[in-house]
Amino acid sequence: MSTSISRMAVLAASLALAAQAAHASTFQQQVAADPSGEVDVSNISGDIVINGWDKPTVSVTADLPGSTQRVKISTDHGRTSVCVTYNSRGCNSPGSSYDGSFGDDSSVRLEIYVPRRSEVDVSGVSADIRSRGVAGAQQLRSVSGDIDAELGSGDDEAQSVSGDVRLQGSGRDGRLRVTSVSGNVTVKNVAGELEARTVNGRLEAGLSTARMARLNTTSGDIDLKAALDQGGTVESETVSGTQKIQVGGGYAYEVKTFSGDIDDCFGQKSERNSEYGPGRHLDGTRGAGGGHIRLQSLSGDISLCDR
Amino acid sequence: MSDPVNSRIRRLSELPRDIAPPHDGWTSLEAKLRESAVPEPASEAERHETAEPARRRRPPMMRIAGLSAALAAVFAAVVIGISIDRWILSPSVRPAQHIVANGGNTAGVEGGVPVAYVTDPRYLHEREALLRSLNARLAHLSPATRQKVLTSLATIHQSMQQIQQALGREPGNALLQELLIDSYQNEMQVLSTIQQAGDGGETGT
Repeated sequence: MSTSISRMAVLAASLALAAQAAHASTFQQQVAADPSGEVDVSNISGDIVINGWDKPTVSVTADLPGSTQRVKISTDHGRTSVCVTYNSRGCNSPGSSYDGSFGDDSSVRLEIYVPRRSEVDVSGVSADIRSRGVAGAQQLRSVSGDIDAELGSGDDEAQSVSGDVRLQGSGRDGRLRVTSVSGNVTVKNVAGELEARTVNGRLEAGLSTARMARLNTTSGDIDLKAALDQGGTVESETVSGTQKIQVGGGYAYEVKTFSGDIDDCFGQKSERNSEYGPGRHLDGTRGAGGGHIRLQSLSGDISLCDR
Repeated sequence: MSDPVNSRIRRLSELPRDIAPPHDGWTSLEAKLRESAVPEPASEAERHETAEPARRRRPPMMRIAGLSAALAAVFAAVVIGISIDRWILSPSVRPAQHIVANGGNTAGVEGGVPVAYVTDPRYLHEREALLRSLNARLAHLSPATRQKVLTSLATIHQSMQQIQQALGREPGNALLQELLIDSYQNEMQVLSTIQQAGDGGETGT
């Protein structure tokens, strides 16, 4: 009897899978686009892959697992919008009425080619975001999905709640703002201005030329390697996270911690703020250049070096 | 000639007009004053150069300024001390600003850290609104994401409490004050991010 029930269950599951496979489809469409226009993309769940190319066209390919998912594309005054709907819901305010009534099997993979100089605005919820070859400004947001992007030289912004963020800069001057709640943040080869913040994720940043870098975590560790621009500033702060700061160039530095330790490769010893109370500080200058470094923490250890 | 001291005085008019001191101390005093006096500047440049020492010769003003600063510091310390006593040491009088997630694990964030140092009404209003809507916003997130967010908020609140406790020991510590303000900003950043993420929604299960 139990064998029969098991067989029936397997059969039912197979039929369901077959039915879903029958509904699975691939969406493909191309629309003309402004070479330096704006492309907005939103997808609740799955993957969003953005590629820059040298054609004045936006090309969209989507793997749709069922019959309830649709891809909507619209263009208006140089702005192209690509959006995935689930049961007719999800565009404009993606997921505002998303009640969790569909599971992970409903994930949609979107692969989009955009003109290289486009400005890109991508929004996902549990969707991973990947971007390559886009030279224009990028705004990338996800809740639990990871963000992995190559950046151009625009004003870029990446935001995640629990997903990790990995950004690779072009080494050209730009402005980047990264925020995450619990995800790790990794930024490499960016230049110009960087503002990065996470609560308990790890923050790792590399700047080929830093005009302004401002890093902040609560308990996450910070690892910064940067060449400071003339007159550039670096500010880094944690509450309990450890900071390892390697900055080349000429600068004045001030390092403060309430109960952590301070270490440097300059052969200089940190001093106690007072004979009896807690707190240490390290102040000095390194070379010329008029730069300024300011590092502080409540209980985290701080290490400063110029190589 | 009669002896004015030993002779008997019968009327006021008989009193001597001047009595010479046994020795004249004024001459030596005047000489000492002359030695220590700064010479009158002859030119404008000299007058400018001597301005700095002249400022140093104003101990009463410096004392008043120093006293005012000391009083201000004492006042600030008292205010902060009262705040700490009110918000940290006496939890029974905490305001009703709590973070409680519907159906989620709320361990570690059941009591939102009250704002004892920031008095900007716009900030307080904004924060209160975000905290009020936090439950609803969290409900839109998946359990895994919700748990991570709650852990992050708990980390921030734990940090705030550590800083406030340290401030209780060193109320005038500028580093601690700055760290605390930045922690409030971090909390606002997280609350705003959750607000936006909740608008987007993830899953209600």
